[in-house]
Amino acid sequence: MIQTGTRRALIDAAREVFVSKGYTAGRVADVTAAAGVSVGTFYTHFGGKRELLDALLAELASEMFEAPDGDRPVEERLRLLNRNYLGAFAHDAALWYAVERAALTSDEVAGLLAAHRERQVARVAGLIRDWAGRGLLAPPADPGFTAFALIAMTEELSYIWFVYESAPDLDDAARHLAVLWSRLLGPVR
Amino acid sequence: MTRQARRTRGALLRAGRKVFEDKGYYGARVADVAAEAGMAVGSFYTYFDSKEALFREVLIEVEDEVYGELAPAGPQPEDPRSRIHQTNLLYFTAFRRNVGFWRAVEESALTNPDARRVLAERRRYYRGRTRRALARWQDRGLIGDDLDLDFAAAALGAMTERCAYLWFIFGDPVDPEEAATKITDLWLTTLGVTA
Repeated sequence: MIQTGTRRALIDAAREVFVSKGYTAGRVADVTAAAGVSVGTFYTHFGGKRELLDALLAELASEMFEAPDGDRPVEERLRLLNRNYLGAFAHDAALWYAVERAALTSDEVAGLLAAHRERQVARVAGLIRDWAGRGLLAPPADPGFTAFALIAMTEELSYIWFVYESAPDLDDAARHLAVLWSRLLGPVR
Repeated sequence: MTRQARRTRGALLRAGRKVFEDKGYYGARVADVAAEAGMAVGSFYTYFDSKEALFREVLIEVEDEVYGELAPAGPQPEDPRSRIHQTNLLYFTAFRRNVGFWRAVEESALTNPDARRVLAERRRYYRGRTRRALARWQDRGLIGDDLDLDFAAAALGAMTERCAYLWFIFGDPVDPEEAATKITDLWLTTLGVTA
């Protein structure tokens, strides 16, 4: 989708408002004020706050769990995949936390997050099938479940590191994560 | 504390747990707790300084209950599959039973430092247990020497916790036994244990 200046400004403003006020307390009027546009203009771009959050999540997710192309060993690709994820999460940790907290009290937000997670699981499951098809991995029993569990592991560690406790060195953490992803997926060497 | 006072305090703790489960951490008010316990708001403040103080006490009670179950009496199985399965199953079962309360705990974690501390302690407790079991299996040659045990314990624990959170709080209910079996398989594959 073409990101016009106004749409871009509204998504950036949403990010700020959801972090500072929370998704539930943040109002469309706060977003338009932060973006410096009128409420009327907002509604020419988005149907409401939910659609705005959906656009923001789609943007954040576009780089998460993306595996680099090229002729690299599986473990190296998994390292880069996790490194990209950790970098993105670390950058937006406050936002992820705000959205996840909103999901505890809003079925609407919970639904958006669930759809977001399903897309990520599908992406990783697709990678596993693709790599297995090319003989890089042992044939997986249940790629969907394995992908879900691997993502769950990386997400939870990210919350612990970047929200609750203290951030590790991202390169070290990605290397460690790649070792475990790789052991679980069983690359053919 | 007199017997009457202990009874009243106990009634407030039970009422608090129910109100936190029903209304969440932010939605729960002292007036709701007092009403649930069938007493005046003034009586609440005889026993607790604030909603936050009550929450901390309820949290400690629930934690004690869960920890009590996770450290079963008698000898524990030493083979990795049985041991990991038992721990995962106990965790999923306890999580499912207390799901309303865990939801309130997660909700409170940003603004309530007590809750954050209790959650961090819970993690350390699990990680320490897992780490010790992994070290014993590594000594017996069941796990390769190349595995970083601290990281593996943290990451596999994180996997179990996040799955429980997603399944029991946000997802369709799953059968704890089936969930424990599937997650245990993933632990064993990751650890490279075939036993």
